[in-house]
Amino acid sequence: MHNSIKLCVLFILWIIFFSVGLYKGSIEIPSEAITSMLFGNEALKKSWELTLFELRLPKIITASIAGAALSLSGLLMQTFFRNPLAGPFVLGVSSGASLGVAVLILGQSIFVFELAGFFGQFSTAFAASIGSGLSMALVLFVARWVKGSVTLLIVGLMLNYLTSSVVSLLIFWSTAEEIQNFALWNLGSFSDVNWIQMKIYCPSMLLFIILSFFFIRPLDVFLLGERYAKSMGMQLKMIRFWIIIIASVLAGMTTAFCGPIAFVGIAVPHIARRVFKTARHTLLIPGCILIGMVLTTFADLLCHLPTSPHTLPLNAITSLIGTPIVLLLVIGTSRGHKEIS
Amino acid sequence: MNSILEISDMRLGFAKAGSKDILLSECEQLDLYAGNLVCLMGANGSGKSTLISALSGTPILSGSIKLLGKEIDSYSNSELAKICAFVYTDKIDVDYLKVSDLVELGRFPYQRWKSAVLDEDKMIIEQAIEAMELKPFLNRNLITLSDGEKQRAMIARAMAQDPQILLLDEPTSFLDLPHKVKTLKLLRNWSRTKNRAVLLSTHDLSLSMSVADHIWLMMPNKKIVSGAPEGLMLSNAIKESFCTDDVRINPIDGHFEIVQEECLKIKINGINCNWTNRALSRIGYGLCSDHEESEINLKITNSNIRYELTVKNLKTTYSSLFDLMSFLRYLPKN
Repeated sequence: MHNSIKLCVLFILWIIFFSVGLYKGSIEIPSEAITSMLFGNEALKKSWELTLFELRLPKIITASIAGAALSLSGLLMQTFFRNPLAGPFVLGVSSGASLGVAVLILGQSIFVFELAGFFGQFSTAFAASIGSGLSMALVLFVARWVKGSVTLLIVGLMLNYLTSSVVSLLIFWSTAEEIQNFALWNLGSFSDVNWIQMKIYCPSMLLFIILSFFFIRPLDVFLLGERYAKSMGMQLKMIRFWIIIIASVLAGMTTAFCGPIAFVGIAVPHIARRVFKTARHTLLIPGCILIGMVLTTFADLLCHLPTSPHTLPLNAITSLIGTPIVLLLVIGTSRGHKEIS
Repeated sequence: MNSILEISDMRLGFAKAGSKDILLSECEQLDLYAGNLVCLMGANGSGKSTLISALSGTPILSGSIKLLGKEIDSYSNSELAKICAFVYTDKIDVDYLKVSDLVELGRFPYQRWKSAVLDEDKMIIEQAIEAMELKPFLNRNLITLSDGEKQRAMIARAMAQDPQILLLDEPTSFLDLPHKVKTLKLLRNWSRTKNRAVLLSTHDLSLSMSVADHIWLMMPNKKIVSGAPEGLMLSNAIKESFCTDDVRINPIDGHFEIVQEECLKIKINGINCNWTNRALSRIGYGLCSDHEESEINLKITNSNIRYELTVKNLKTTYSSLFDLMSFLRYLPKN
């Protein structure tokens, strides 16, 4: 299949999941009513309008953008570190966000004043942003001193361990209710982002996604490693700085608003490479964005099964769909390589 | 002749803060000319890779490196990339990287933000692919190629940079003999037809002797000497830097030989003396000269090749060299 056809198919798939997400949900609303509401007509019931515009639409838009952002962030990190295991978690960005939220939710019984009161509905996102921002700053600080990307990778991993130990210490001193709140955030969700938050989240994500397109060619060169990149005249420091910033902001802000979403960042780049059979970022970047969008909107559909009043945990669903796909693809290709060699 | 690269009074090594610098090699004058293929030789740790990375802009201890008449420091990274292209020993195992895409990456110094689409780019890419005979592999994934083909693809990528100097760090070390020869031949043809310089480091003396226009030899006394391969052989420079108690150079064909301990003398007459002699010297038998006599006599007869061995007065015959050697190996050495 030609690559542009593959992109089109992915786009159509996304449109389908997007529409299904709008039309179906735990509350039954007739399709005609939804279509007419979407075209700006008055709704028959106030509750329908609320469900569509305050729940479903922001949720499905958030899901799409989060999917695109996480996948792209994973792709940038895998290329930059030349490591197929790299992903948003690896640089410590996600765990930094977790630490921020853990301090906010779990720290209430330790700190005298209530942090959450200051920032209202932004408090979680704010804490997560500060956390991921700090870990990003640390990684960037280290990046200025150390030369190799492997060292950066190790710094990110150490940050992960540090964070998880601090979080478990906090859990040790927390009340059952606080622990439950933190656990809920930790499960990940697209439905907690409202329109006011989206006014910040969506434009900034779009900006950084567009920004990544400027680095297509340097990213291709990065595939050969930093020594070759330097020998081809690349300004390593500048490009490194921007790639880390873009990858961290995409993953950090998404984690801030939606919680740590497992699997998408690390798996989608692998799926994209095998779908498009290329290593070139001209195709991989749009490919990752579309596959990420398809995957997260689909996962979100599964979380909110029609007629069921319950919402399944997002993290469980993303891992459940993704793991078998990636395993199949990885095992399939490695067997293929053996036959050739 | 046109000197592209001019190195003078260079001291090569590592600067160490607070203590004396570690000197690897030094030289008074080295020149690299357009259209020449130069082999950089020397023992492990003598500074071959350091010299190559010095040409990518890594600072040297002292001295001057001039590229096209200008000091190397005065070039920016991106200007340098249009003059020097490198092939390192780094292993590239990127999944789904097509050979054609890899070669195209070589145009990065000229097309920094988008793919190479200009006619000029396409022409240079095409020439690099032809020079390295990569046509049949263009649509293959890099990781499915053999080591020899992969190396040629990496070289073609460097050629696509359209450099004045192509620098290769041990490009043949993982290749079998036919691939070594082919790679070096293609490199030499490229440098001749495009009138560009090729500088490559290698440990393979006999191959360098047969393809190189020049050899830069890093001597044990840390001096770098240069010259035509045969010139270095005649001036004993090669003998000095490669020969040890265990290795000697055959003065006639320039091949290395392992020095064998000789315990017993043997007198051989008959055909195929040369190869028999070689085999016997491996198990410690030296050949008698014409006027010498020995207790061990070997006669090789022409019909179906038979070996007649006389030790003292005992006479035995063998039908193969292997059987003969099996016997001789266990003969008491006194």
